[in-house]
Amino acid sequence: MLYIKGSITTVLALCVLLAAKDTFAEAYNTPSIPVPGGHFSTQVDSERQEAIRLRDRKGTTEAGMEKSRLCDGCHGELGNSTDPQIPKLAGQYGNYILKQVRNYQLGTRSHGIMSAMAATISDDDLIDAAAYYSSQKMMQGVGKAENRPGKKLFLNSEISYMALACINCHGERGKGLEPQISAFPVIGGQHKDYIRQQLVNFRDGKRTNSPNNIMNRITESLTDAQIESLAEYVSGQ
Amino acid sequence: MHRSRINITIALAVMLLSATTGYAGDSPDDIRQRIGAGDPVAGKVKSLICQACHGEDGNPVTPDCPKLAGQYAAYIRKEIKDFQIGSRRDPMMTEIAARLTNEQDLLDIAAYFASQKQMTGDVRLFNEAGKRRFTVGNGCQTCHGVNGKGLAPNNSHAPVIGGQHKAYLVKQLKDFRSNARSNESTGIMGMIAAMMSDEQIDEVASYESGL
Repeated sequence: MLYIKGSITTVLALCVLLAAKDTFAEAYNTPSIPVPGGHFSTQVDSERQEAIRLRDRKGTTEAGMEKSRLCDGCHGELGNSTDPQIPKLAGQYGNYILKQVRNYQLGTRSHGIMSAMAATISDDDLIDAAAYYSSQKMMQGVGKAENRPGKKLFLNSEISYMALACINCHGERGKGLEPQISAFPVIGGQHKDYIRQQLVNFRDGKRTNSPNNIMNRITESLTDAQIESLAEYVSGQ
Repeated sequence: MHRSRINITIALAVMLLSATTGYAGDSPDDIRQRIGAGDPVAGKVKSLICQACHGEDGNPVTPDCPKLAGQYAAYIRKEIKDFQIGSRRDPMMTEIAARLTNEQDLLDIAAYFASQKQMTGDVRLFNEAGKRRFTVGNGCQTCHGVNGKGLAPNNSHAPVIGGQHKAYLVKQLKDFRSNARSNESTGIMGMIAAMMSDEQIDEVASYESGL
């Protein structure tokens, strides 16, 4: 009896040891960089300081007025572009402008002129310029007679991916959600030609920098006529 | 007397053995605990805007947005709360979290994503160095579980990371390293990341994303 009990216990103890081996045995072999004196390296330190500074940096409209002079050249005074191919920036979300310019810098969005312009602006200046434009009176459309087909498309989720209609993300009349979500930009009152071009670019896969490619999927099945109606409705708001 | 001693020994051995195998993660009871108190059916409707970026089933196609599929509801809720109070910051998520002030909505949305089939990697980006860092000694597995699928059925602290998008994992590790992200209350993620070079971060994120 004792003999059996003893051997079972031994076998079990051996099992336990074998199982524990992986958990405990290699604790002293964890690969790691030697950290001099237990302090963080200077590279980590300066990286850390810069990242925190940029993260917490709020742009100012006063500084932004100076920094955005170059942008005004195309995007118009106060961001009210008068060229229908060039988007208005007045009242656009600062974080949205930031993301687009950074995407141009990285190449995840591309445009002959914007890709080059984006390369010339520093992060600090960009943060100020974006704040400047976002503080302007929001872009306004020319208020054409209400475009019924366009409005219907804007409100109607049947044509779109999942159960989302334009209004769900871009807000009533495309003026953005309340409280705002910068990922979903202001579009109401934007230039008609520009809206049309972006919808086409999304549909045809030429522009692919929307979060999770949502805009590509939403526009996938839009016809040219539907895009035209939408652009007319949205630009008139 | 002798019998009960054997039983106790066997019980102890079984416990120690199972401690090394980790948490598997897909039994109905595990899923129930992962989902938490919210209603995933209500959550599906409430999370439409979330799905725009995070994918209908919590699996976004682009790596900029993290997968939420099968993530702990408690962890999702915690991160949203952290975005709300500013202890974690992201230009997009801070705004989105600000809208989720209704506790029930938050629970339901978190439950919806938690109830999805758990995230997995598409490609086995196996590399020896990444695997070693993940599995050996006090590696990532210690808190994030075998295959990064989590260490316990319900966890608000150490999330599911196995099968997460690599680019997202890299960004989080770098943010922990630079303290741009610091909402891990024990400070251990900061310490761990601070000891990793860019190359090592890349290696371990590659490995984790393929799990």
